[in-house]
Amino acid sequence: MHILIIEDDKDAASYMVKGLTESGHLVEHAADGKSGLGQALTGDFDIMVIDRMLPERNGLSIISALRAADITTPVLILSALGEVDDRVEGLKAGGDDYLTKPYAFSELLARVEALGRRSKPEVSSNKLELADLTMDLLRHKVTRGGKTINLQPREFRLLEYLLRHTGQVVSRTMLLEQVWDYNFDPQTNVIDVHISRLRNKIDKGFEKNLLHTIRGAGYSLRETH
Amino acid sequence: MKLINTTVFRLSLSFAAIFVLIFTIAITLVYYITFAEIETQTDLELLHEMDELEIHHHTQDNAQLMVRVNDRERYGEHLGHFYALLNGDGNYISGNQNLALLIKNALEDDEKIHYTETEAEGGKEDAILRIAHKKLSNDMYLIVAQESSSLYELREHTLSAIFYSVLVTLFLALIIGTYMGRLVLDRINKINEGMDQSVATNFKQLINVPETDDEFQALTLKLNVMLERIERLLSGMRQVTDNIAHDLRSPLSRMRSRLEVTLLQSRSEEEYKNVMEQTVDDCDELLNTFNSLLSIAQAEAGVRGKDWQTINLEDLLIHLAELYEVIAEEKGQKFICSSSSSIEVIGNKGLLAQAVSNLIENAIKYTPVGGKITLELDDIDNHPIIRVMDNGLGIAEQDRERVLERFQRLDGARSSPGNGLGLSLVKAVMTLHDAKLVLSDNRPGLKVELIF
Repeated sequence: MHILIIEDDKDAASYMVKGLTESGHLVEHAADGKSGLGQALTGDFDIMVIDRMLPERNGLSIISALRAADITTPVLILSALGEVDDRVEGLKAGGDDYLTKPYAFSELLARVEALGRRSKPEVSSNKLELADLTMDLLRHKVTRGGKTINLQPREFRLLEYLLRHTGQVVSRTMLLEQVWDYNFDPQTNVIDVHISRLRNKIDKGFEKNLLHTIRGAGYSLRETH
Repeated sequence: MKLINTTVFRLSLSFAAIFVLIFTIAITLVYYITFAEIETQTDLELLHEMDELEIHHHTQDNAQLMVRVNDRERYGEHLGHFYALLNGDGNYISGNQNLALLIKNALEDDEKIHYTETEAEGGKEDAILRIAHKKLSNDMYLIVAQESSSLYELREHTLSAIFYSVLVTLFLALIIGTYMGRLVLDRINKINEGMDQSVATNFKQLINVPETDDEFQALTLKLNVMLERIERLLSGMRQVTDNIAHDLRSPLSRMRSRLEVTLLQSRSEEEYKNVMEQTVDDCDELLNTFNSLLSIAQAEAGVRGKDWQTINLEDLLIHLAELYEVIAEEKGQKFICSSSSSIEVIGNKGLLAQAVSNLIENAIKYTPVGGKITLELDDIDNHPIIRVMDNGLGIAEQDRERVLERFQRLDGARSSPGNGLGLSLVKAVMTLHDAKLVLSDNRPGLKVELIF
């Protein structure tokens, strides 16, 4: 993916550029709001990562300007302000996701890749599939290898989210936000327990595991390890 | 503090000044009205005398008038009455010669009565005369005068009386102002001294509360509440700093030494990878602690703001139960969620959810395998109560205050993961919502109540 990072903190920017480049993305970096907006308006990007507090021009006003110019590229807002209404404000200004500093790189990567997926036109289908696992969204039915799997409503939503992000790494925080709608980090491994229950239902007794744990990052639903 | 700088003193002075001003205006008014009245009376008397003499002038001849004037002058002297008759050129004809001289230059050439006031020279000392004169039809001037020296004395006495009473009033006002100012200043100074001492003892010593039930007592009580709060915050901060130093330094130094040891010699890629993964885990733990501290700080500094909304507590609990039920089940615990209320509260949904989840996590963590955890929504008098109960170890009564402080972990809990910030956050969130956090004995176990 072609990614634009607008971040004035040199160290943070350089490891973001390094990490994202090593993860196979083409990354450009702007160090202040003005040049950042210039690059954002002229370049063709799949994702933009914009810091909220920037010299010359703040992040939210860049996003407003982009949206006013009909540029709908997904934006991930980075912010040191972590209060709930800041998050709301950021999303209202036209941001697509919000990440509070300090954050783990794996979290940033997972969110950037999830946003990239979102930017592609979604195939409107009533079925989600991976290998021999099939989810019928209309009939609320999941089968694997022709065998019906009974899922609780929340497990169904969890699996749906994972299927929609097949091949990507999703973090625990993302799952908590997207599936349970909570914006805090639990102290215990609550998501792990839910995942392991789901894994028991979809992977147990099958030759190939689909739901993988990515150490230090989160989970990924995919065919190959 | 200087007395002159006190509000009470200044107020007393301004009050005295206003009082003296009003007093002076009133007494001056009385003075003028009284003396105007006395003057009118004198003038009426003069008019009367003149009328009587004029009657003679109309009925008899000039010689007779001269005699009458001389007679009147002779008999009137001891009453302070003086009379004179002058010709058209102002020359003396009969009566009192001195009077004639006095008025000579002030004669008005018409037939109206004119009143003048003159100080008599030569004759009696300090004599002040009120003189009426009129030109008669035969071109003579008739002069009638009355001595009004006593009236003038009275007038002067009254003026000096007014002057002195104003002076005395001012003096008294100054004394009373000083006294009252001193009285108030003394009490203020006591409070100030108390504050100084409190500051000097790091807010441990409070101000002595005055025994009189008045505004100073109320003020002192309020100040003491403030000082207590400052003391609590200060010691809280000190404790947090100590604990941060301890709780954050140990994982940091652990990380550092691990990295150092790894660098001592070259190792296989696998080993490096292992160490780095462990380091990432340690960093996550540290970040978690920092995030928890930030959440608490945000809740403590929080205000009812944009992000407040109406929250259905029943929904909140049901969703949290759904999230955590599985963990309890994994641990072989029974998890029960019940609700007998559908009351809504206004609040910060994210923070409330986090607070309740902290309580549930604690309950699951500190209740042994096979235990029971109950999540309950109830209400008393329209005040919703969230209860989180377990039948685990519980918390001894003397520790129930302490566990709410940051980084406080009970000895029995040190071996299990956690940073000792969970209950601090719950407390901060409850304070933000004007709600109470009550820990009690569940016989056995812990019962935590959030009372809104």
